[in-house]
Parts: sequence; structure tokens; C-alpha cells
Amino acid sequence: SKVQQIATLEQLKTIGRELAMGSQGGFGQSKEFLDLVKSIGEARSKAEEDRIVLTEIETLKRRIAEPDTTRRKMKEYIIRLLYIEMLGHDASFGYIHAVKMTHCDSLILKRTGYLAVTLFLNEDHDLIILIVNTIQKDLKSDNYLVVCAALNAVCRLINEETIPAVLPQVVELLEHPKEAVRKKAVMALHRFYQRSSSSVSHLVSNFRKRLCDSDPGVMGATLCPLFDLITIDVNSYKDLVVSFVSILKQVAERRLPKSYDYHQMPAPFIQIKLLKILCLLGNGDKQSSEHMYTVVGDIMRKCDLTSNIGNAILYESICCVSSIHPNPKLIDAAADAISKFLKSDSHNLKYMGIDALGRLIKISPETAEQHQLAVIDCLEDPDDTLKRKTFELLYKMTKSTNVEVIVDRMIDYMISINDTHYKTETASRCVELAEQFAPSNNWFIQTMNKVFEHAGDLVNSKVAHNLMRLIAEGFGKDDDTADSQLRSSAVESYVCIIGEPKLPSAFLQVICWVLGEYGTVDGNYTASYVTGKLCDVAEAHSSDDTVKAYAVTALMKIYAFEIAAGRKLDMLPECQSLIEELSASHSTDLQQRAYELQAVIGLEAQAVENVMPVDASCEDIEIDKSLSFLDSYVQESFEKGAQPYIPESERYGAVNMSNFRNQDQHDASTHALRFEAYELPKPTIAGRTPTVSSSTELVPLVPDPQPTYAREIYQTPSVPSVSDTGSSEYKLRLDGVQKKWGRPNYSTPAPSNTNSDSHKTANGETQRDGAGNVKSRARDASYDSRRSPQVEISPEKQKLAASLFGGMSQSKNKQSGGGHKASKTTNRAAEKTHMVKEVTAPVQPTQDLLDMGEPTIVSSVSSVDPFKQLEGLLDITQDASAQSSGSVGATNAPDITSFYAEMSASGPNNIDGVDMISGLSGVSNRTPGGSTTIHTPQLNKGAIRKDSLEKDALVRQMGVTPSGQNPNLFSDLLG
Amino acid sequence: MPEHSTQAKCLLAQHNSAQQNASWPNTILPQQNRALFKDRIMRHGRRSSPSSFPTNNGTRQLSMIHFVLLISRQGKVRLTKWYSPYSQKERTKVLRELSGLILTRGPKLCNFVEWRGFKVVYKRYASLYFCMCVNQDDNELEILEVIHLFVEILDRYFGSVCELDLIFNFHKAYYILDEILIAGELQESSKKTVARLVAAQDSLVEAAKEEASSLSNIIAQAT
Repeated sequence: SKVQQIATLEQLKTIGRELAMGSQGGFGQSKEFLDLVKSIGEARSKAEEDRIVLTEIETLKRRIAEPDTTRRKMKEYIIRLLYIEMLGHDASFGYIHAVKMTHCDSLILKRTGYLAVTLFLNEDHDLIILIVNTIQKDLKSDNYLVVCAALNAVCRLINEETIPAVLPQVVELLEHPKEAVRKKAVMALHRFYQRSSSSVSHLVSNFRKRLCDSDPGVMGATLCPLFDLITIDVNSYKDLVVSFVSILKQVAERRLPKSYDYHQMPAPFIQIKLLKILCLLGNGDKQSSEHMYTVVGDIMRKCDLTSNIGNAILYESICCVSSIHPNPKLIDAAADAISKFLKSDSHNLKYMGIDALGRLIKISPETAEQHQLAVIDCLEDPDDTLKRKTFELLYKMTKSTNVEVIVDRMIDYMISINDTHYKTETASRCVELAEQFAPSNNWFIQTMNKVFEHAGDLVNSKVAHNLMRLIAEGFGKDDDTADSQLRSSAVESYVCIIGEPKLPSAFLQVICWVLGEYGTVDGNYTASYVTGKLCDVAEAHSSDDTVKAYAVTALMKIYAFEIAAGRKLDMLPECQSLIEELSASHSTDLQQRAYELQAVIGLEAQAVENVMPVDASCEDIEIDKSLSFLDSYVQESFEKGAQPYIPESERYGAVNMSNFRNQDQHDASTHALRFEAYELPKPTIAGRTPTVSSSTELVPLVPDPQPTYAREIYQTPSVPSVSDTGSSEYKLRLDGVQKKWGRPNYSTPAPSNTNSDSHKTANGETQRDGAGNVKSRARDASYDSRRSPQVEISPEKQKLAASLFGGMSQSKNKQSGGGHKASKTTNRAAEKTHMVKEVTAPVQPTQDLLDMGEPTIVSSVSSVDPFKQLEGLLDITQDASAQSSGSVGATNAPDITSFYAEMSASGPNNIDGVDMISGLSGVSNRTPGGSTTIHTPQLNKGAIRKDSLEKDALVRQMGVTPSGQNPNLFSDLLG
Repeated sequence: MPEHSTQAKCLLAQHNSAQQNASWPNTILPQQNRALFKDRIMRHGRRSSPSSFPTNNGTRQLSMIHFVLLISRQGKVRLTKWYSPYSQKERTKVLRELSGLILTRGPKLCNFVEWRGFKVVYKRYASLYFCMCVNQDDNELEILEVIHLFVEILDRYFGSVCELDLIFNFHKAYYILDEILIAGELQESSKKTVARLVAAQDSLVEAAKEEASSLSNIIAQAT
């Protein structure tokens, strides 16, 4: 019946098409443009497409240059330019016209102009300087749509150099009455912060202020910059933890307007952003984390697991749980969620499950065990993405018990893929794991051989150097026999492998070095055997100078060791000819090495031993940096009347040069171009200028500009040097702060254990504790029993599982039991502190700044009133920065509550299921001028069908036939 | 409360069916086209030199979303928006590589591809692939829903949107995208707010058009 339906629909479509043939218009574009799109759509090959576009470019070049082109036409040309640039062709000849179009007064043209420049120009394009003035003007426009268009361009085009030109206006727009403008201003300021954090660092307090904006959209947008700021400097934002938690709680409780709902979840995108922020704030901070436990737990419980967005929130919650200070209840919930992900049929969810598992095992390693079979399934999945993710998980859970299996698998995978990026990554991971967990020397050498054989040219040269150092130094244990064993097995395997064709250069370098250093040390191989091999390498890779250089040096070492040991030196004829050849080489490096070799073998044993001591690669060479051994020579020269040496920087000519350069730098840093107009200084501009230069006002705060720096330039150490040191000082400070916050390790919750013992006797809590433990143990058992009847699991898989996960089973369980108790008691302690705070904090429901629901609901049950705190903090920041931009903290409170009350008052019609649609139609009715372009979606699908029929007919008329290239052109994207 | 739950179910069902339809290939490509399609991919095969190309090597990336691409099933570009700086040459390369990677993937696999240290989240709607490139540690499911949000808003705006709408009105799709994402970050997640703002802009455009036409009428009458 469905087929029939489709058939009748098709018929209807054709009829509709015929009917609509007569109607006019067509996507509001000209015939020419439609023809262009059509012909490109029908192009059979890339070459044909290119030909069409090239003709189009010629046409446009001609048309655009015509003097009497109307603005309307120009708009269309620019859209056509956009189109050809989108197809990958160069439309730069038209950029200047797009720039011109932004100057137009009409909003349609301006909007097109801005769209074009944001798509055409990168932020370092020369033409941007021509737009800055227009942007400045538009940011002051009365029409908020013009301001919005300009702010869009600001976000894309304004670079470090031009930030000062628009910064004051953007800051002003943060207080704009229209929420759309405020939102974009926040994003623009965020962009500035990303571009050059120093130029807006004095303005970051504005983000805190916007966090309590009356509009949830602005609040949501503010979370982006705050997330960035917190990533860089967690410590300064700890005071916001309570506020974020409370906002998240309110969002999860559906206090935001209904229009933020998405697939039945309340404002999920805002929830996710907040969870990301909490994840940063709670990392390694027990106190902050304790505020979050309840709300994160609630969210995990409320997630709708049937929708994708619900799973997105759940995943973010797991990330949060595994980053903040561990809480056993939450960890259990996260583990449950992960097992749901992994058991799902959807590859996406499996992928997320693997990723989440990788995060959770950092704090709860025993979780991995439960999912061993699921993990192995994912490892053997045909989907490469999933496979890669699983390898990442394995990499994270590698230990000495399973390293062999994991690295072997990784190497197999590495050999099988072609993607250089991931080949490199996998190779370096293999190396890392092998270095860290290698069970035996032999295995280590074999593994490294495999890695280098297949990806030697891809791995970082540092990896090769590491390997050499490792062979030279051993594994760091003071066990000489083990070290020499390592070397012997390396030499042995390299002698075997050296003859193979197509070895990567980096690997050959390692081989040559090791053979030179240790080839004859243990006496298994004679000097002539090893030198013969080395000569073969040099001959086989005659085009690779580096390998040849390594080979020659290796030869030199072996001969030197022979001479030092007092053995008679008989050089192989091929070696002789090689040395002769190289001493006439084009490469001076090779020449030098060849001559050095010849010189060394000419010396007597005593001297050779000093020049080339055996196994001395790890010994430090002391370098006489001051060249003191030349002192007597210098003294002699002085006595003969030589001039003393003057450092380059002190010579006359150089002084001028450096001065010049310095001035230049200064000019660049305080932007060479003036963006302010040269007209009469209006009072507003005069008032604003101090804020622009306030970045330089920071300078006096730096107590002493480095004196050495000032002395170096033979000039008054005035403005340039000071401003330079100022900025560097500032940056330095930020770095220091960031480094303080390393990642602490959670896997051993030892200190809290003692804590739990002291609390143990408290009350019923401990009993519940015990029950919980029993329950979880019981669940484990049931899981096992559930797993056992599945007979279809192949023994191979089980073996793999055992080798991957087997090592971690017994001891960990006990530990986790202890952890349980510990955090549970701490949790209770947190509750206690909550109670205390509740008593002390004055409960003032009407002052609840950010309360997003109806004010009648008594929401102040939540422990502390966060907004009260927020208010306080705002005042503080204002005092500190001495920016008297109105006491926001004080005036905001009634304002916002009334706003949200209004929101909820107008809400009731939103309660029905089709809130979006009714809302939309309401909007389109209200907007002045009656928006005719918006196809108000109607409840019956029929109208939409009609719509698409008309559309269909139109394009037929245009001559675009869907039956040709792409029959899907007409199918609704949303089905 | 029961009322609420039933309605939730109803909408959910709608959503589910929409998703199913979306991921289901609507029509099967004719044989000849399929051959052509294969041919394309072969020619566009990845011959990449890793040098001088932005790859993600673990440093913190500025924006959340680096670029948005709309590619048709035939590998034709329908919309590109770059939030991180890429030269024209790099853009072509990215498009070539990603269409090679994504268009060849089977329907039941993950909607994510790892690529040069980034992750590309994609979703197919009818014959169009919507792709967004994000950082390693971003939430893929969220990005998937950002894509869906964009498509839902497009659908509302165009009235059951189809690929052809986006071909001929790609600039309008850009305007809408600019209201959802800015500088690679999600600026607004309320469909209503986005729709309202785009409608406001359009109404101004309409008003200007009417004004222009009435002006030309007056001139026509006068002369």
C-alpha cells in the first residue's frame, strides 16, 4: 500500500507541476543564475564543470566592470561570485565589489555585502581595512538588524590589529536593549579574546555580568567565553561553581522558556555547555565537586535515552563524573550508562560508550572488566572509526600484563591502514607503550623493529633518537647484564634485518648507530662481518646521505675499537673503496667523515682510545663555552697590537639597526593605523578613548622593566621597551597560573580512607553503605551468570578478553570497596556543610537573580542562594576595575524576575505539543510588514506538499530535470 | 501529568520517524550514475602529502566547529562555511578528502570520522550530507544534534526543505547558519529565536523591495 501511495503522490506531483507551470518567479533568482546552477548540476565531469565555471568567471569579470551596473544587478553578481568560489574557484577579482556593497545604505545590499565579505575574506586579508570604517558606522546604527549584520562581520573579520577600532562599540553593545545584539556582542568579545587575549583582558568581567542576563539566549552564549576562560584559568572562577550548578539545576527543571526545549529535553545545548564547565571546575577540587553531585546525578537520571540529544547529555554527564572528584554513586550511574551505550545496536552509541569508558577507567579501572566482550566486539567491528576509538581505549588501559597483546594488535592495525596521520599516531603509541611496559628485551627490540619497518619514515625522528638512547642507557635499572643483553639482542636482530630491501631511512640510521656502537662488543660477530654489512648498507642506499654518514661513522667506531683492543686491522676492499669514494663526495659532511676515519685509523692505539672510547655515548662531554684554552693566544695577539673583539650588538651600525627594528615593533604593537575619524572630538569618543588605551595603562603596574633590556638599546628606555616588557610580563603570569593546575591521580584514594574510618560509627548511613556494597557485588555476580550462558562467544575471543583484561581483576575490587565508603561519608559531610550554610544565608526568594521560573514557586529550598553571591561578586569586580557602568548587581534583581514572569505568563499557549509552530505563526503575525517569505508551517502536511509541488513545478519550468543526475533533489531533507 | 506524557510520546514518535526517514536512502541511484559516482571517488582519491596542512596535534583549538560542509551524494558542494582559516587550496583538498571519506561509508556505521586529528561528524538527509568538523574532545552526539537543529530550522524556513532549495537559495542558508553558529560556536539553540530573527531580516528585505517597486511605478506613471 505504501508503494501505491507513493505512486499516487508522484501522479499528484506531475499534475501540480502542470498546474503551476503558469505561475511566475523562481527562487527569486535571475534566469542566468538558474541556468548556471542547472548546467553545473548537469555537468558530467569535473572538467566540464570547470569549463562552465571559467566561462562564468569571464562573464562576471566583464559585467562587474561595466560602469552602469545597477546595485540590484551587482547583488546578484556577488551571489554568483559566492557560488563559484564555493565550487573551489578563485573569485578574488570581485572581492572589492563585495566590500563596496557593505557601504550601501539599503539593508538588503548591506547584508549581502557582509555575507560575501565574511565568506570571501580571511581575517588577515588586506581589504579588511576598507571595511572597518563601515563596521564602525553600522555598529552605531539605530536599526538592530544592521548592528547584527555588522557584528557577524566583526566575529569573522576583525583581527588583532583592528580590534581597538571596534572594541569600545562592541562593549557598549553588551548593554543593548535587543537580546540578539547583546548575544552577538558577547560572541564578538569572545572572538577578540581568542584573537588577542591581552587586548580585552580588562573586559572579561563583562562575561560574568552577562551570565545573569535576562535573556536565556544571551546567558547561553556567555557560556562559550566562560568555558574558554575557565579552561585557561580555573582558579579565578571557582566562585561561580554555585551559580553554574544552580543555573544547571534550573535548566534541568524546565525553568527556561519552552522555546529552548529540543526533542523534549529542556535546553540541552545549554545543559551540555554547563556540564563541560563543571567538568573543568570540579577537576581535582573536592569542595567544588561536592556542589555538583546532586545536580549531575539528577540529570543522569532524567536523561531520555531514546533520543539522541538525551544520550548526548548523558555522555557529557559521564565526562563530568569522570573528571570531577570521584563520587561512588555517580561512578556507578556512569558505569550503568556506559553499559547501556555499549549494548546498544547503534554504532554511534557504541562509539560514545567506548570513549566514555576510556574516561571512566581513569578513576575506576575495574569498570573496563565488565565490558571486555563488548570492547572486543568493537575492536573487530568493520567500522574503522569504532575500531580506532577502541584502540585508543586499549592504549589507555595498557599495563605490563596486557602490553604484548595490545601492542601486537596495534601493530597489525598500523600495517593495515594507509592514512599517514593515524599510522604515525599508532606507531608512536606503540613505541610509547613498548618503552613503558616492555616485558623483555627481546620483545622490545622485535616490536621496535616492526614499528620502524612499517612506519619508520612517519615517526618523529625523536622516536629514533629515543630508541638509540634506550639501547645505550638501558631501562634505567642498575643492571649491567640486562643492559648488555638488550644490546646483544638488538645487534643480533639488526644484523638479520639489515639486508632487507626498502627499510626506512630512520630505521637504517638506528641500525647503523647500534652496530657501530655495539656490533663487536660482545664478540659474537667479527669486525669484518659487521663492517661488511655496513658497507652493504651504504652502497644499497647511495642516494641517502644521512644513512651513508651514519654508516661511515659506524665503520670508524668499529675500526677504532679494533685498534684500541690491539687487534690487527684488516680493512675489507669494499670498505676501502667506499672510503675513497666518499672522500671525493659532493657532500662536505660525508667528505669530512671519510677523512676523519682515515685519520683515526692512522693513529696509534693509545691515541685512538682517547678519541673513540668504547661505549661512551652516554658520557657527558664538557664544553668549554668561554673557549678559555684560547686565552693565551688572544693575549699574545693583544700584545702584538690586535684590536679587541666587539660583540655584534655593540658595534656602531648594529645599534642603529636594532633601534630601528625596535621602533618598528612598537609601531606594530600600538597599531599603525588610526581608525578614529579625524573630525571634531565628540564627547562620547573622548570618553571612550581611555578604555582603548587601558591595555597600556596596565603597564605601570609592572614595577621594574628589565634593566638589561633597557641598556641594550642605546637610547632612552622609554615607551617601547616598557610596553614590551609589560605585555610579556602579563603573559608569563598567565602561564604560571595554568601550570599549577595539573591533573591529580585518583586511582588511589588513600587519604580519604582514613577519614572514612573515623566516621564509620556515625549512624544508619553506614548500614546503607554496606547494603549498597552487597548489592553491587550481587549485581556483579548476576552479570557474570548472565554472561556465562552465552555459548556463542568464540573461545578465541574469550582468550583475547582474558589476555586483555585478565590482569586487573582481583585486587581492584577490594580497593573500590574502600573507595565507596570513603566518598559516601564525605558526601554526607558535604550535606552537613550545606545545612550550616542554609542557616546562615538569609533566605530571600524575591532577590533570586537568576530564578528562571515563576516567582511564586518557592525555589529557595536549594541550599545557598547563589545569586546573592553572584551579586556580591559582581560588585567586587566592579570596584576592582573601577568601571562605574551602573550598579548592575543591585538593579538587575527585580528586572529579571519580572521578565521571566512575563515569559511564563505568555507561556500557556506553548503547552500544547506543537508549540514551535504556533509560536512561529504568532511571530510572523506580529512582525511589522507581515513576513510573506516565511512559509508558515501548517499543521496539516498537505499544505507543505502543495508547497513542494509548486517548487517542483518551478524547477521543471526552469528546465532542471530531477530524473537526470540526481533524482533526490526534490526529496525533503527531513523525510 | 498523564496528558503531558502522551503528548511527549506523540512528538517523539514523529521525531523518530523523521530520523528514520532521513537516514534511509530515498531513492536508489540509477546504475549509470553509480558508475559515475565510483569514478569520481577514484579520481578524487586521497593522494595527500602531510606537509603544510593543518592537522590537529593536540594543541588547544580555538573554535568548537572548524567548518561546516554540505555535500551532495554525488560529491557536489552545496554549502561551505569555514570558521578556521584555510586557504582556497586547502579548502579544495579538505573537500576532496572528506567526500572521499564520508560518501563511501555504509549506512549503519558511525556518523563520525576521525580525520587528521579532528573529528568530522556527518549526517545524511535525503541526498545531502551535512558535515561539521570538531576537535578531538568534543561531544559528537551534540554536534549531530546541532546539525539536526540546523536542518529543522531550514525545514521550517523553506517549508519541507529539499536539496534544490539549498542549491538555489544557498545564500539564505548562510543567513540562517549565521544565526545559529557564530565564529564556530553555537550562539543560539532556540529554533523560535532564530526563526524570529531571520524573519525580521526578511521582512525588512521585503519592505525594501515593495518600496523599490512602488517607486519605479511612480516614476513609470510620471513619465
